[in-house]
Amino acid sequence: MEIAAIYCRFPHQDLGSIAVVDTPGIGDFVSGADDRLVAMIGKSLDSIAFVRMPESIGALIKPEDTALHSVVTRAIPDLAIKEWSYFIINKNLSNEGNNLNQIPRFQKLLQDSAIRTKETLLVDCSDPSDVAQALDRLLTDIAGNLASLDKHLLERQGQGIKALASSIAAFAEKAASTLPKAVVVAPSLALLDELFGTVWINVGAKLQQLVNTYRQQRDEPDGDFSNAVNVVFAKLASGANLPSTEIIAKEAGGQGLMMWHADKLHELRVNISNSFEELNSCLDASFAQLRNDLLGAFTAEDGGMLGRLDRPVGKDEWQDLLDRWEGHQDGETVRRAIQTLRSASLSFRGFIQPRVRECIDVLDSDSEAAKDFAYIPGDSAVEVKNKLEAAWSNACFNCRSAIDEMATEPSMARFAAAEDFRDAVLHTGGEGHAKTVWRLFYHENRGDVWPKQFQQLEADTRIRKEWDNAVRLLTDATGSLSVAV
Amino acid sequence: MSETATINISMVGPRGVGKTSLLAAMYNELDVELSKIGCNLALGAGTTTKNITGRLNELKKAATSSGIKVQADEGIPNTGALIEYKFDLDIGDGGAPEVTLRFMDMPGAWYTGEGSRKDLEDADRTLGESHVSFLAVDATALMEAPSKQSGGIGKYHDHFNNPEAIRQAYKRALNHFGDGHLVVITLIRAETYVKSGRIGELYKRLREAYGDLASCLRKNGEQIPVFGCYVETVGSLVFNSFIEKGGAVMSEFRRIPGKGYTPSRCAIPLRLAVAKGLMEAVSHAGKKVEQKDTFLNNIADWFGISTELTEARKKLERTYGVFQEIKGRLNDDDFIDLSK
Repeated sequence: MEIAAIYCRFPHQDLGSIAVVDTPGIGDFVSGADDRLVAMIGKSLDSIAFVRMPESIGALIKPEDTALHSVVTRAIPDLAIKEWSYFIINKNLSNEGNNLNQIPRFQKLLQDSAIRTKETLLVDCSDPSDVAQALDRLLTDIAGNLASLDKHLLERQGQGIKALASSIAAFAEKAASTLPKAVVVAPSLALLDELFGTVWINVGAKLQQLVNTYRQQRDEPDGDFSNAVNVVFAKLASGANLPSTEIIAKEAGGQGLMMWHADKLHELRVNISNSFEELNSCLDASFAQLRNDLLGAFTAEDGGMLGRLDRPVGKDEWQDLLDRWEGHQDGETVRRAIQTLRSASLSFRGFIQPRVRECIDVLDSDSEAAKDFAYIPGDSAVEVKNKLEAAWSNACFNCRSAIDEMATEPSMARFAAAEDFRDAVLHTGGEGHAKTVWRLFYHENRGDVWPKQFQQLEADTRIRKEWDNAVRLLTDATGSLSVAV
Repeated sequence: MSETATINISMVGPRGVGKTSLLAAMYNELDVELSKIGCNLALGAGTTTKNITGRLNELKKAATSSGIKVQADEGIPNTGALIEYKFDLDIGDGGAPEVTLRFMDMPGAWYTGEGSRKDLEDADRTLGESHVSFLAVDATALMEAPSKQSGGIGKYHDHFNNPEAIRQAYKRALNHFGDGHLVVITLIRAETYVKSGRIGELYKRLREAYGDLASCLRKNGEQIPVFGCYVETVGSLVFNSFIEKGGAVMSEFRRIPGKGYTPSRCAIPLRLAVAKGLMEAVSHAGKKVEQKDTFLNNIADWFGISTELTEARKKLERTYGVFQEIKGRLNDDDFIDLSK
């Protein structure tokens, strides 16, 4: 058995939970037990009371006593043991083993030994009232002492962390200045200007062409969307798929036709609403195509040529661009534009559902619109079926009308997204400013885009960038450490 | 000279749009109204009685049958020829009818420009020579499933109301129009919009869809008056959906529980034609009084002896009284003027 937990009441319950741990004596230690003791004291205990019963004849401070004291000292090395430990001398007043005569001698020997505690108490451990009194004394002292001990401990540990942070900061500073500053090579800049000039024109033309295409389609119903809508409504046109009137009468046998009608109305509403979820994939595909088209303007060989960037296999191209723009001068504008484009979408929930919700009110028995289709006492199974079919037919028609009205909206949304993106990446801050920002981006990636002309330079630049990044991370971490301390 | 004033009325509108239903509902409501003032509106024998009473029964049945769904039928099969219906109005004096309302149901081929040249010209002349034309327009087709492309006009408007073919037919007939022709565009199946308080929107769509027709109806610099109104031929049927199946489109209506056969406003367009007929009948009666206004008849009349002059004067007085009664029921608010 390693640990036995005994729950009992202690005085000073106002202090909260008090746990008294009876550790093994020094001689009881098996191999490694002293390390576990140190760990337990360090993590769980606030104070230690050494208990020792002097012998009745020739009492001594034994090597085990000092050894135990040494072990406990290791538990909280940043705090002197004399600040948080107590020594209880167990006096034996019984006829057998009475040690009262030996107590002064033992106290003198204890004082002369290496054992240092905050206080020494003389207690008859066989007398509950004496023990209670001693415990009361200990707890009072611990309660008064605990806050100042914690503060002292934190200060001691903080000093260590500060010293560590200083060392790391000094290292980071040294690391930052290890590599020489980048050297601008005039001939390569002239070449870059020439190559980038062509790329800039091509990207602009391609984006403009795309925006023009989407503008032309803006007021046209989106073909894919219309086709998907047709497919959904072709399924809905097959009807409410209600069972035969005989089966209706049978199913309604227990609960009655009124409940059957109400349940079915609810079921039909859910069915019709869910059927539009199929449009999500079409809406997703529509925006995926837009993103692909816009990406093409940057990656095409006759466009931005960024398809040449060295990208980890499987990594999303937009994500790669986002990462490359991170920390780049004025890169936030481009990053925001990319993030906006990536998150642009139309969904059934956001785009269609609010508009069709009202149209399916006829399938909601609580709605005024469903009044004409409501069950009237005395309705037969045939009438119930007719009403549900009429409600279904009305809901489908109204949904179709509402969705047809928004048939051009996916085209409009795509055009808006394309135009916004084009403006954000090519015109923010004026075209001249945007061009400068992109020129710097191409400068950094010139080794990938134009390997023949810039590969060695690019390699150096990339290593430098990675090194700078690592140093920056180290500096940031040191700063955080100092703030925490 | 015949003592009966005849008013020729063209019933215009594609097959299945509801012309016969409109005619039956107009007759049914005005007959009740006229009988309360001692007049009798009788259906002509043969086709008129058969088709009008048959359609009236169908309308009542549609309103009162069990079940919620009602599908619009395709109307009376198109024979390619004009179908004539006659209503005779007797003001209750026991003599010959004072007014005959002669309705001509224009053949389907006339709208599409098909058929022989002679048939087309006959139909054009019939419309041109009529005093009034009722153009029946399906309100649900005009209003439901509006599309942005058509400026908010219903997706099936062209399919059911065929407005362009109607416009072309009117343009062809324009040269035959005499003075005083009146076009009344009657929105049928308007119950849905009365119930939902959307009559303003219905009239707006009517103006948008038929503004072109009204503006092309000018002859010798004079605008032919074009009025619009709406009727509820059944009262208890509201639009439910359009159902497309195998390339065909069908209108589906639903019954409002417990409302039954409750037509409304159906007499409104017909009052215009009746008032026109009665005005002519008053003129006839006045001429008759002039004819019989001899010295001897006046002497006899003075002595209290009934003569032809006495009878002519009574007829004039009665006819004028009925005319005033009908005229008093023509309310400006019941129409919108599309020619303005």
